[in-house]
Amino acid sequence: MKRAELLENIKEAMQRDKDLVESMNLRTDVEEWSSLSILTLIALYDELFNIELKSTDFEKIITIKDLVDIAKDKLEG
Amino acid sequence: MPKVKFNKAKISAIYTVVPPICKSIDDEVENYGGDLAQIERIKTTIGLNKRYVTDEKTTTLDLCEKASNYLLEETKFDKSKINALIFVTQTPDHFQPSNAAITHGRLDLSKDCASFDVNLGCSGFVYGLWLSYMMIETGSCENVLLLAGDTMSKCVNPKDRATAPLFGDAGTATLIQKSEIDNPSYFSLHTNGKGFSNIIIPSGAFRNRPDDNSKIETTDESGNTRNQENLFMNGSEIFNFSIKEEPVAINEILEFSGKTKDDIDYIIFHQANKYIISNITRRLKFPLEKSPCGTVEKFGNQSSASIPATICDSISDEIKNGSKTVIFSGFGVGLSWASCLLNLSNVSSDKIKILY
Repeated sequence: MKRAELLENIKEAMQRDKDLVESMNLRTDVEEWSSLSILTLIALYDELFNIELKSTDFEKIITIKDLVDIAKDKLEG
Repeated sequence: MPKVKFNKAKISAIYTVVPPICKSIDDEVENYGGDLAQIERIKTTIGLNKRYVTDEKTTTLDLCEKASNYLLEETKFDKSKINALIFVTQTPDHFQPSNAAITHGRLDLSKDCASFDVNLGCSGFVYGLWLSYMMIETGSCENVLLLAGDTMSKCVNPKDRATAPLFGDAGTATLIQKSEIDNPSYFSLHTNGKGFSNIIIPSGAFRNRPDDNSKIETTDESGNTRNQENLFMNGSEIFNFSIKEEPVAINEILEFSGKTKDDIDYIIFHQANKYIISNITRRLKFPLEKSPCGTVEKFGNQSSASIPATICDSISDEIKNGSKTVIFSGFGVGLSWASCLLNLSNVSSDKIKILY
């Protein structure tokens, strides 16, 4: 999977219509962000990458780039 | 891990009642800062919508008594033949005596009847079935009345969005009887007590006595408010636990029984929420239509009552006159999870009754 594809998946998981940019701050720039997003992102990463995210991991995830970087070893390019 | 096959017991009847007060997440916009889009996302993703809750005076015991009378009226079963009454709940009337004993008195059952409570939530119905089947298998009982119910709406803080919109109240009654023919039924049960703090009411019992401090409300970083006597649930950890352990547990019970997915007509999960059930079902590569998950939208997460309630809501017509091979699987507080694979044939049952 490429970074752009993962961004699309994240967008879908958050039920967002507008595109996501890696520089965006999850909590201040993404109006769909809520505790519900943590659930859907945990499910997404588990399903796509077999990566088990914990709720406490999200304290360190500030931007969309932080989120994408968690899977960087499993992404193409 | 305890895994066991029983041959001599069967489920004869399952009935569910819910209280008349219906609440909807649509009416609680102020809890979401007026964010209608967020409510829509919750409805679509988690499948939360309506739930039925009790008034101040009505308890789990009242609901299960009504479910029992409903069952006894419909089946015309001679209640003097009930040898055991098991009451699964985490919302009893008193610390002492047990709900089972009080219900035994209210139903006017025979004195030759064992009665006790089981303190379990979402996995509790399967644990109760396991006990019932075991008691019949040993020959110590022929007719067991299993009551499973909870009023979790009384445990949550209305300002805690992580729990308040989730839980509905319900009472159920299930009659388990000696089977005249061999009726293979398979059970597996699990616990991970290290995860106990992920679903907990911290104060109110004997570890942390209720006092002025336990009533002080605090608001967490997500904006959810509760006190120490309210239910706390770490939703994301429970989600991780469920999607990790449940697929393993279902595959385990299939393997233990020698059955395949194709042999299973329905898999009835504890109705935690639609998102968890669909994630588990997808991981198992089970067809989604074999795993009913619409009950939680209509009635909420009913804790120990949710599996029998889903049976009544989704498949009562099919099990009344037919035969279905089913898996039940409950998971949650403890942490505890339990699954069984059994046959439902000619089970007296009906849709969920709303107690207007």
